[in-house]
Amino acid sequence: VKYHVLIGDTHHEVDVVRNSGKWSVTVDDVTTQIDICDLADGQAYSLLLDDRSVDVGVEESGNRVSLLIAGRRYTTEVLGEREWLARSIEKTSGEREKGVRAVMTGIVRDVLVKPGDTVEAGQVVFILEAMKMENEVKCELAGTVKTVSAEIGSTVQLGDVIVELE
Amino acid sequence: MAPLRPIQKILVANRGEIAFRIMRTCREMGIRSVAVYSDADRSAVHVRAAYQAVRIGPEPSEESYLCIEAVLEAAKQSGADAIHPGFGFLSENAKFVRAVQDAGLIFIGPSAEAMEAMGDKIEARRRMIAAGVPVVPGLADPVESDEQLIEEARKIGYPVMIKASAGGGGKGIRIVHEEADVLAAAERASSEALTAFGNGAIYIEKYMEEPRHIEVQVFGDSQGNVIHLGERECSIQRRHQKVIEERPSTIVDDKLRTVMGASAVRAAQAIGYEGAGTLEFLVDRHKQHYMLEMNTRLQVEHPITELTSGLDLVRWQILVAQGEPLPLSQDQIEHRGHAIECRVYAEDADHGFLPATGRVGRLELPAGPGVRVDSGLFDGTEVGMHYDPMLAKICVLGADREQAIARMQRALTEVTITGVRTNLPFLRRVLDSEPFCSGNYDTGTIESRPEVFAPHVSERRERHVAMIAAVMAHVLRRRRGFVDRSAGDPAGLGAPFRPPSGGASTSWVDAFRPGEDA
Repeated sequence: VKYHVLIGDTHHEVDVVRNSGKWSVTVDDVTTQIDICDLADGQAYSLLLDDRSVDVGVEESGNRVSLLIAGRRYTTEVLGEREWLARSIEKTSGEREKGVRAVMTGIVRDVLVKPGDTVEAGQVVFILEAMKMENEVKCELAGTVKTVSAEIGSTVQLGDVIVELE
Repeated sequence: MAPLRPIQKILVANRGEIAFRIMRTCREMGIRSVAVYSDADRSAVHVRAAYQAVRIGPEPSEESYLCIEAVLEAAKQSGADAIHPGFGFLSENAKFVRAVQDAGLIFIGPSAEAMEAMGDKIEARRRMIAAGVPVVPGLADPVESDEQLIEEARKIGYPVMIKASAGGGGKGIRIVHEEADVLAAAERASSEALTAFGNGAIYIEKYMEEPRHIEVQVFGDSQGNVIHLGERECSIQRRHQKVIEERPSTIVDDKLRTVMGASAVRAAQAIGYEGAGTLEFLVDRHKQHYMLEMNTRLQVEHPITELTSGLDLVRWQILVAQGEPLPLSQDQIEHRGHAIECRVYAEDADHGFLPATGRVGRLELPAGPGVRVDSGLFDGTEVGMHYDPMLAKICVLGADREQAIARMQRALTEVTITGVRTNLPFLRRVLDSEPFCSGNYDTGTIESRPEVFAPHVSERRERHVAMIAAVMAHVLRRRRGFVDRSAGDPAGLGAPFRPPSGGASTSWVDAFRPGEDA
């Protein structure tokens, strides 16, 4: 099975084949035999890459696969062939984020814009508080504020769109 | 000497790792401990470590851990005769100290008067100048108007630091480099302080460049003895929040240690201090020290002092609270070796250090020679948005600094925490960095050299990561597809491995070692 792995801006094609109780994994023409032992119901594995021993904590969310190896975290995206193709087509049409989202779960302490305001890229648009720390949330793009969808004092979830631009 | 006021049962007015740490000493001393908990913490480590546990309210700390009435009611109900406040929450609240004493209980900490003298930073500054303790140049009184703020900032010269009068823990602090930003920064600092401490007063001082943040541990008793237990180097900070501490400091020699120790003892004596306290200093390039503030409680980073001195500071706090004299005199204090502490925060190190929430899935913590872990984590811990993001402290002791660094690098490779983003990758990067390894760093190093501490994957390691990511995704996707079928082993995984009973975790093999490029 062929996968496309995205790490930051780089892309690797990886071929995964089941082979007599182990896995044969090929990346950049180098094939490694991997032996896998599940340690914690799909959350942590012991791997032997040929004979190299690596413990891996795994978090999966959609196509996103985060690996925790020796205290470091590697965030990757693993796409199948079809998803990879779809992604390549999408990319050419190029749509950027028009909303400003909550960067964490927390309480809205202040909203510094109202509908109709023009904002510049990098401008602070609202203040979020969690764990007693206030964090300024900035917008990525310039534009005009269309809607503000959270009240001061309300609790918002990570990823909620708080301010919509047009 | 028999204690004047023997303590039989201590209520620990705190949660998580510090409550657990205090209870460990209680158990060693044959003292029973009482936990208090909010609805979010019924299954927390401190509840399970305690002899008794009392619910004190719902999840928000204002209605539970910060609620004086609820804590006192719990003490009464459980029959505690003393209260240990830990750090944070009510630990520096003089009103709480008085309420505890009015209820006929022993407060394990300084007097309300000593706390008040140091708790208000402006008042503390006056007292310290009077006692001959060096302080940082700045305005002694709270800022009263925008005009005054601008004028004073000009007088002191940029950069200036705006600080909440009642601040602590990096909250309510802003550094301003130019006049255009000063009013907005003051407003943020004030509003942050108002939310966190209920007091929005701010003051302004010179922001010192390239300073070291070095603190001195002091201890006083009811007989008027005050000694110091040497320094802790706390300059590795982010947003004024300490991340890594070590002792001894690479820039403190015996002479400076003696001078700073004397300043610290003088400061504590000036307010008749009893119990454990910490004097925070800035030390500049010329090895001049300036007092910042006194923390009138146990510090987060106290374990590194314990590791090199062999002492138990919580035990000392309890002895002093019982009316006993300090167990050792100044010339009996000896330190051996080098200790480092890393604080594990629920902060996404690779995405702007934003607070992270979630449920801990897989948890593995380090152990082995010279490693001490104080942790509030357990399998399934819910890390919510209401409490402090510090989850655990990993400390090591080595014969010298080089061994301590190697030991910490090793310890960090043994950690796995899934389900909640943490700053572990950042800790590893700092431990591997030139500024830390050379000992040549200051409080601005982390923020001024982001390229050194930014996430980075080498090309060779990247191929390994791609390979592992693909095979893991493949296995997980197959596993999900077949997981409900009992027939055979379609995913080819074999039976999940179970650690032997007793919950021993599998140990780390030396892959992805520090310095080794996978």
